[in-house]
Amino acid sequence: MDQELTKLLEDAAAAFKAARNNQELQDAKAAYLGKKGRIGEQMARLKELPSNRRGSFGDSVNKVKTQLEEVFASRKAELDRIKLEEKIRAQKLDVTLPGLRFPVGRVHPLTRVWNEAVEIFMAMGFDVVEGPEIETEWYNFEALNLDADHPARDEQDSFYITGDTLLRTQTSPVQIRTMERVGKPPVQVIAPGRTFRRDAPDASHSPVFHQIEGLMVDKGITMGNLKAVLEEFNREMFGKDVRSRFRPDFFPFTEPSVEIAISCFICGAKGCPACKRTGWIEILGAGMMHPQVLRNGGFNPDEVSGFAFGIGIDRLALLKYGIDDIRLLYENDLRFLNQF
Amino acid sequence: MRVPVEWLKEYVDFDESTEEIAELLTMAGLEVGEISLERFGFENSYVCEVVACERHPARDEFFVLKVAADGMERIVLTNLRAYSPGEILPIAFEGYTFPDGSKLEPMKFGGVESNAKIMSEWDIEYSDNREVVLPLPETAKPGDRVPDALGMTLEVLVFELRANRGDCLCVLGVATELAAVLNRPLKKNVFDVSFEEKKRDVEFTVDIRDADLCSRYTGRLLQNIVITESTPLMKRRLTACGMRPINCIVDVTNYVMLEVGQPLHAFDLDTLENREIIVRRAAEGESIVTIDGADRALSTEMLVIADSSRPVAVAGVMGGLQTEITDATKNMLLESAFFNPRSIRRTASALDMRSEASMRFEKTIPLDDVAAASNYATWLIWKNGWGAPLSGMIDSFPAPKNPVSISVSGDKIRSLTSPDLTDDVIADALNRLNFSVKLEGGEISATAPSRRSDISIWQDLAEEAARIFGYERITSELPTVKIRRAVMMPNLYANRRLRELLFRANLSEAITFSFTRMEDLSKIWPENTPAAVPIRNPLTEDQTHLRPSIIPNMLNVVAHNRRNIGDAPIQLFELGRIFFNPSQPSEKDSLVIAVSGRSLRTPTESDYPLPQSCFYTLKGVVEQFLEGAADQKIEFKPVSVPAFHPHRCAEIIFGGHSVGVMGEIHPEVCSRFEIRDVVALAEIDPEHIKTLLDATPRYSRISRHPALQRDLSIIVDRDVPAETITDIIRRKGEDLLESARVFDVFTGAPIDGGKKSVSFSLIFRHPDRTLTDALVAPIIENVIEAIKIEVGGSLRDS
Repeated sequence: MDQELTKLLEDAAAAFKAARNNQELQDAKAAYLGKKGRIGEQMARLKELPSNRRGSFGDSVNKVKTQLEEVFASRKAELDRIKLEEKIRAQKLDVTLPGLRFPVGRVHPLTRVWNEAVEIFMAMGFDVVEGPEIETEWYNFEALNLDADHPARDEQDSFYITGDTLLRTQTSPVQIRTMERVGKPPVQVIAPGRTFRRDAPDASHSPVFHQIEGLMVDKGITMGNLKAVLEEFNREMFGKDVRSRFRPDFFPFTEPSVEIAISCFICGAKGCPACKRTGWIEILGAGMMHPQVLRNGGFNPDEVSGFAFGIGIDRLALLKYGIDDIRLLYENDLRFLNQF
Repeated sequence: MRVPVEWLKEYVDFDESTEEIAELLTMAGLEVGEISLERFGFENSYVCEVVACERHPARDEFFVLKVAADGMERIVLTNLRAYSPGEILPIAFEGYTFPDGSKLEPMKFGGVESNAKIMSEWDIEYSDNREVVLPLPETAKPGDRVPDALGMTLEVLVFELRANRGDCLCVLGVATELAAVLNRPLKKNVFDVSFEEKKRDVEFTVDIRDADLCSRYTGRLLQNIVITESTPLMKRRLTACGMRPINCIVDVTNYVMLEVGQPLHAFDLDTLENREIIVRRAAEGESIVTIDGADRALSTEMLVIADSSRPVAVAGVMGGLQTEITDATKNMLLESAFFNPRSIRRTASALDMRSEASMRFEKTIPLDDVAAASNYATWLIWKNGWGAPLSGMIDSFPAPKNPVSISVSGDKIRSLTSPDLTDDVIADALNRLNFSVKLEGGEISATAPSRRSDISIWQDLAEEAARIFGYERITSELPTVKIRRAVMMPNLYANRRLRELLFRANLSEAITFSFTRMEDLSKIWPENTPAAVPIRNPLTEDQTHLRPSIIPNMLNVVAHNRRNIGDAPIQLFELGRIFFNPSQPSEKDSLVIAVSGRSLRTPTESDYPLPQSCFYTLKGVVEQFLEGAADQKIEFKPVSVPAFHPHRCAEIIFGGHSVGVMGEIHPEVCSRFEIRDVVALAEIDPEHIKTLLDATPRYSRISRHPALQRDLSIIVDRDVPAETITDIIRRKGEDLLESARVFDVFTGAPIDGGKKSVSFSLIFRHPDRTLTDALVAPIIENVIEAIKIEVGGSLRDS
């Protein structure tokens, strides 16, 4: 290779390396590798050479050209990398700024316990049914053994609509409606829904509240069955270690009647304000269906028996989430709802 | 219902603690709500220790004692003797009430101030002796209250009885239960009494005219009545049970009621005209002044006790003032009767006069013990020398009741309760409860004691056996059933699915009452206010009607939150029942969605400068919700609907069905609810959507070939809806157009005043090959041409 070519190679490599950005690199490339560049000039020299030297000179020029292209490519890659690094440096974010958030849809605590209870009972084979909120006195009272003189029928305690229709005071009317609809045993349902009582609102009373009615009618259904099903529910709802306590109670639509309490899951039954220091929290009422109620639903109490229970959904929510005032459930304050 | 433990101990022997007794009774169904300690006053009296004793500086015969109890120090003056430090004394503090009603006050004597006194026997009515220091037992320690130290504290079981156990509204009933639970005998038969009778020489008649309301009426005459205080024991027990001692006769009637459950009434015999009692319904226009001094008008459904001329008592509820026992009473009539529980309940409630007596009659008293209770009371009066009974109790008993006998097989009881209840367990339980029981070949025949009027069917026997056996001891056993799949009613299932979709559309759930008031409805719809179902007896003025729409409650919820959370986003829904058709009230589900507050710019929308309005946030939410529900066309048509902003309101059409409206609430309506921000609401009838839920999706093939994107900016009159142009694009875009989406709307310079620029992003794709510009260019030309012809739009120069 002649000296001129060697010099050209050195100059060009230096020029490429000196380029500080793509533009300077492209300029340098044009000066050396472009059509009118220094390599081009060398190629033009070919014609002036004797024909026997043309071949070897041409090879040398091409070799230089190839070498230069490599130097160029490596410098270009280098410049690209520097440029990207600069760009990335400039993209620095303040990661402590708040994120952009969709307001996540929150499940109302009542819906949460409602769904949870429904799932527990469905897993035990209970169908889920519903009934009207405006009921007749027959379904709400009489069919359930609450005759006209029963204290629970005091007009002061129920919202009346017309003569004999009212807002149901309990989900129990669904017992009768379901027996009528199903017609024959077995009947195994729960009926969650909204109920109404004419109670002035305070921390533990609300004129609108929710219940889950439960009902199981078949041949040979016993109190032992009632205990086992509700113990299972209590454990699923409040924790594996929760114990259930059963003791006598009175409801006109069950005989025998049962009041069920759970061991306080907050203090481990040691006694705390939540359980009024008793270690127990009353949670639901239940019993073996009264024969007259079975008859009113079209069943023969000599052939089948059944248990029924009623659970306050609101109360479940208050207990489970440690809410100290039932009115919070209906105020819909987002500071409350967003906690669930 | 309050029962002193000492009274129970007269009936049943037990060494168990009061807490244990309470627990046993509770678990048997007589719930003890609390154990209360009765101290009968004697407040401000403490057992104290003498700390120092000095002679009075001015009066030699007096000593100045410094006494202390639990950190409290008092100064006492005494002339009894000198005391040594460490001696224990009963001390009355300032505020102590003496038997004569006076109160202890600080005093100064010879320049020394004292604020307490050593208690004498008189101070606690133990004797008349004011000089003898009240003796304290050895166990008394400084800091004890004096009545506690003297064992004068009565423990009282406070029951929360169930409505069916009227028989337990007395000591005897509770004692019977306790004896059964402990399996011990009842020690005492309170009705086993005898007394001397003087021969009755006066005529007296009882005439039950309305036997349907009075099954039995007994009258006992007594003479030589001495009106005095009753015994300390009676007074103590009456007080412990929450009744005020009055005089010996009234106290006896109350005492017997508390002990055996039979309400009694004493009349001053000499005030009764013609020496007769007539039990009848009140006559039209009659009234009576009751012993509380109130003049009460009676209605013809009310049962009264009358003499020949006037009512002298409201039967079973309250006596009359003119015939009551007074200090002057010499002769008396003791009434013991059984009145119809319903009638008593109605009367007491109509007169708003619930008494201890009416409360017991309402719950059915033991019919068979009416005369025995009267004899017990007579005996008490006789024994204490407060009166002399005359022979021949008048007992009018037109309607005796046969005892209830029930026969049932043990198997039947077990099929309702548990195999744990063997025949022997059942028979034993019933025996302990004083049933007379016969057990023969698996058949149990039981006759209920007459006091147990709540027993009528064999299931009652099952309950008695189960509760004496113990509910806790019954073996839990899951039912054996044929496996079947549990199902949810379609409507409940659909509501649950809808909620899930609404949560996924970033909405939180609100739950409000089912009530509203007309004022709220007319704030929203001043004209054509919707009809609402009225509640006949509303609780409050803002809950007079059943809601015909969820909108009013939702606006109140928005207003509430606006006051509390500034302009933070509110995105809420409520899915609940609404009520309509007042003449034939009906109910159905409704859905309301509310969006308000600072709208959130999501990353994908960051270059999407829509006009600032919650409308589009709500629209996006509604679209997301409906898209989740079913793969159906969603359309929004501009409409004008009352309560909504006339130019920011749309009808929601889903799968060709109108399912509701959405839009911004009219600013006037917002201001009536005191909401200053923009609120967008959607009111949706979910019924049609429910029918579309859960269609099984079908896969449609996705092309593997690259898409070609073209953006078009169209200049068009401002009034032309974007959707109209999108429709043209879709129509002319033919099969190759995959999607067309608005990504920018622009008004203002350099766009002409009445015009706007709407930019669309069009994506073309061919299922089987790569598209070229050449294929798409003529389609775009067609699109632009059609836009020009149909809506007068033109391509914006780039």
